[in-house]
Amino acid sequence: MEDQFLILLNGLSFAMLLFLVSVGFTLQFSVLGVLNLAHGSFYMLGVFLAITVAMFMGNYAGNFWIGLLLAPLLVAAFGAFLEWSLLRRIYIRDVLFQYLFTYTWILIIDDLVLMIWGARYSIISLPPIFSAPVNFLGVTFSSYRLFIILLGLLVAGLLWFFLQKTKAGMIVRAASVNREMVGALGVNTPLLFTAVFALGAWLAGVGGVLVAPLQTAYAGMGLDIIVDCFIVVVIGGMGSIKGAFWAALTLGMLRAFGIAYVPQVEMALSYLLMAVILIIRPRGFFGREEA
Amino acid sequence: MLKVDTINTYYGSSHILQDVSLTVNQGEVVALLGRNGVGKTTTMRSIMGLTPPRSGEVYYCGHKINTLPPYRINRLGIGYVPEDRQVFPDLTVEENLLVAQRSRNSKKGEEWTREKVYELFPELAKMPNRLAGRMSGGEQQMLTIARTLVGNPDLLLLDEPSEGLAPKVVLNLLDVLKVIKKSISILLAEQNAVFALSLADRCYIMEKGKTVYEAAAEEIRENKDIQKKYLIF
Repeated sequence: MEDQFLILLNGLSFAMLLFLVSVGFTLQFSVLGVLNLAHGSFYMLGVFLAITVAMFMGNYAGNFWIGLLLAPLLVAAFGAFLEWSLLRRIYIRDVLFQYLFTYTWILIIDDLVLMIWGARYSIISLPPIFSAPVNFLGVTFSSYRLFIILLGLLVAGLLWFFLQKTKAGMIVRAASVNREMVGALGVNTPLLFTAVFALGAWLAGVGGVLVAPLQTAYAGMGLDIIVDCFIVVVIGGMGSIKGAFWAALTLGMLRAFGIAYVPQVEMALSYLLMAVILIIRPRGFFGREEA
Repeated sequence: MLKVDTINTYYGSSHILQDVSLTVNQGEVVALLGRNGVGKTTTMRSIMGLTPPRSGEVYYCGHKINTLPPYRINRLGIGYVPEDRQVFPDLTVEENLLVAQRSRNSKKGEEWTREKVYELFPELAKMPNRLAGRMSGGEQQMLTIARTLVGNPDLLLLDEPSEGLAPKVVLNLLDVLKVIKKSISILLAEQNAVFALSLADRCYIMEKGKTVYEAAAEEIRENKDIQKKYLIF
């Protein structure tokens, strides 16, 4: 029983990371109508920026926290700049151009990372406060992973509050069904698009910083996570925030239990799940019917 | 107030509006009549900046607006009620209004607040928490108009408001628009000429992307030849 609970917790922490990154991806898609293939690269930038902050700060114990604060903001600023300077020019173009454009940025950001950070593999150390595991409901569990779970739930809660209860959130929801009408009602849509794109990039950045102490960083890691994002968004429903949450949970659990019980085929499980969902419910858990 | 000066609008390579000109004066209700597909909706969308004209100019209260994005045009005081309603289906009635609510300095004291709009549309006041997508066509039409009103426009572009509504609802709509026209100028695109003529002061008739006839509403109400030639009564 304890083993299963531990697997569950591991799955949860993975799910929350996945949620943070893919919710940004789905949010951008729902409002801007653009699938940002470079979203994973923004996540990777978060990882590397966290590493840089850690290097600058040396042994200062707070470096992780400063990274968590700074890196996503830098990623968001980069995202806002990219949207404002280039991306907005291609909204009216064919979707194919949009894919080409965002795909190009995967290559550019990968090369930038190679130029700035080099080809070596880096990882940062866990913040000291998380150096010891905790006893959580009877199991000994990584305190850092517990922190990820709590932070993921917190961000999910804040996003829910923002979207449901604030005027800006209502505008985002309205724009996700009808961008044109929102503009005709006086909403500054260019600014809205930049803001949503920046928010999506920020979420990717947060995911990146959180993963930095867990996984070695390498140029190209953006491509790995974007595949997972795709699976989450397809399973959850294109553009659905709620869908991203439940799909990330499903995928996290599937992966954690898959590794524990059927490690030989674990890699294939998420693709299988996606295939099954596409066959029996093509719009995903919470996708719109007409889409 | 509004001056559309020989605009030409295209969808891709098809030339939809050909040298369309029209004016709306302060306090006026101007109807844009004509059959389906003659360019009424495109005219509305051109004015609103949703499909900007490729040539020609649109002036509103002295501002040249044909190069502005829709949200700037809205903020100058033009409200747009699209054909086929386009409420935000996943938002409640109240949220639909909140998204559009905008106060404008020129309107101090006589603003359309949500309270005032609910007074004008008692049906909506009964269901502020209903999802817009779950309402009837008539209710959605009322909501679209209400939503545009809380943006406090000085000029209202109304595109086919009576389309697809039950006769009783159309009468209700007529009453509402008679209240609205006391304080807001209206450009009304309609296939239902009887409906439009009971509101309008002046009319343009459109055919094949052109304005082919202009007259006082009264004149068209009485001139049977014009009615036969251009309109479906």
